[in-house]
This record gives sequence, C-alpha cells and structure tokens, in this order.
Amino acid sequence: MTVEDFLYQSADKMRLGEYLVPDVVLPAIDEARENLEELAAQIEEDPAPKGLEALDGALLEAYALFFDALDLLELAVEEDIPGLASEILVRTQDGVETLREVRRQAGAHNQAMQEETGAIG
Amino acid sequence: MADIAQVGVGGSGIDSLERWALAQFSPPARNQRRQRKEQVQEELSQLLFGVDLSPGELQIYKARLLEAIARVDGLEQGRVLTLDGDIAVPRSKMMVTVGAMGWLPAEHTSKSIEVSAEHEIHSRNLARTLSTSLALDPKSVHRDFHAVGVVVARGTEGVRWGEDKVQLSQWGLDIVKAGDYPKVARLRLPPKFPTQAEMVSFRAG
Repeated sequence: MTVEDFLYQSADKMRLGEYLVPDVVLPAIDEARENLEELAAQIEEDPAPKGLEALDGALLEAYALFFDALDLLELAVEEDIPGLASEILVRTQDGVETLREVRRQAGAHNQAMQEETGAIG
Repeated sequence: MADIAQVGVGGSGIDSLERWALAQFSPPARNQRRQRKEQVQEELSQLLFGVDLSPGELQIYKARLLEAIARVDGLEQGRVLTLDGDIAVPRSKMMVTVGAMGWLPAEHTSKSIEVSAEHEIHSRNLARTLSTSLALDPKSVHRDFHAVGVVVARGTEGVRWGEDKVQLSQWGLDIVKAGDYPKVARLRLPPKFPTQAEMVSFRAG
C-alpha cells in the first residue's frame, strides 16, 4: 500500500466509525515518515538547477502535507479522535494534487523541450 | 497576542502534537494553508522553459524534469508500506475488557453525543492541565472525607435517594488527622430534611 493509499484508507475507515489498530497503523506511520524523509533528503542533497527550483519546492510541499497528515493520523490513533479524519483527508488530497501538478508541469515542459529541440527522452 | 496559525510544535511528545492539531482547525491556519497552496501553484507556473540554455544545461534541465516525474511516480506507485494486518476493525467487533471481564459493546445506530475533533482535543488538554496542576499542588486536591447515601423516599415509583458528601483538601485532612480541631457538637439539618433517614452506605476517605 502506498503512503497516499494508506492515509486515504485509514482516514476513510476512521470516518466510517471503524477502530484503527494501533499495532498495525503506528509502525506503518513510522515507515511512511522514513520514506518521505528519504525522498526529502534526496532533494536537499541534490537541489534543482536555476529555473527549476519550484519543482523541488512543490515536491517538498507535498511531502510536508503528507507529514502533517501522518502526524494527525498518529494523534487520532493514539488518542482515539475519529473527528480528525476529515483533516487527514484534506491534507492527503492537497498533497496528491500538488504531486499531480508537479507531474503535469514537468511533463508539459519536457514535451515542450522535445518539440523545440527535436530531442527524444 | 500570537496568531494561532503560528503555533509551532515546540517541545516533544503527544502534548505538543495536540497543540499543533488544535491549531490546524483555526481559520487563520486554514487561510495560511490556502495561501501556501496558491503560492506553490504560482511558482510552478513560472518554471523556465530553458530556451536560452546551453546544450549541456539543457540535458541537466531535461534530466531534472524526468527525475521530478519519477519522484512523483515513486511515491505514488513505487514505495509500498508493509502492514502487519488489517489497519482497522469495526467497533462492533471490538472486545472491551476490564480486568478478567470481556464483552462486545452494543451496536449504536447513532452517536449519543456529537463532538468535533477540536472539542475532543481541547477537552483532553483541559483534563491534562487540571491533572498537572493538581500534581504540582497536592494541597489543592480534594478527597472524599466521608460520604453518606440516604434514602429520602420509597414509593411506588421506586426509591429516591441522595448523598451527603464531605470533601476535604489535603490541608483539611492534615488538621483532621492531627485532631487539632474543635469537636463537632451537633449536625444541623435543613428543615425539610427527613427526620428519619436510612443509611445505605458509608465510607471514610
């Protein structure tokens, strides 16, 4: 299960009144955080060249939204607060939309460059 | 006064997480998030097209665009979490246990009380603050000194009863334990109080 699927499913089940199993969910939250930290570290170690900084910024913003959603999910599980489900879903959705925008913009630029230079790749 | 949207996660542990979570529901925090989202969109729309780049720079530029796409795909499809079981169980199948007793709770079709997440977090914070302040100042803790349950009426409708309870602070308990107080001569009851009362329980703190 991917990080976004995990967040969506956890929040959705919580919203439907199901009980999230801490022994399963809390380790998965830690694993998701490690994944995101690794991805963020890759960007920070090798930043984008001039003109593409916004891509890095947007990716980091999406990761930050997932981090927020994971923090809220942790609190919801530890303290049994199902009311946080809506906020988790909002953060996850914002993160997913930001990632899609990154893919769309990067894809569009790549396409434009191919057309301009005739290069394939 | 500090803007609640600016409340950061200072300190550590669940307390600071609760403070942060509570701040997320404030209108300024929601506003700030919306503005941040718009700002990211705006910055993305201003990406350079790389028309004036040298061939070498162009290669790097293209590589980074593809890398960004790969990073998105990696998170959306590549990185899979390992789960040691189902993430949730229906509450109706949850066994509630107290000591050796266990039972399945009755199913409720609707919630008896609707509370928001903000309210839940706030209530927990209040309870925690109260418990901390009591722990810091034990003299302020009030304990039951005695409690007497009295039956005030018996009738066809059932039994009505009340309770007379005396609570003492630690300061009061210290005085009582030391015996350094005047003897109680008599107990004055309000005029309407029944002259005969059946003592149903007694406990001394």
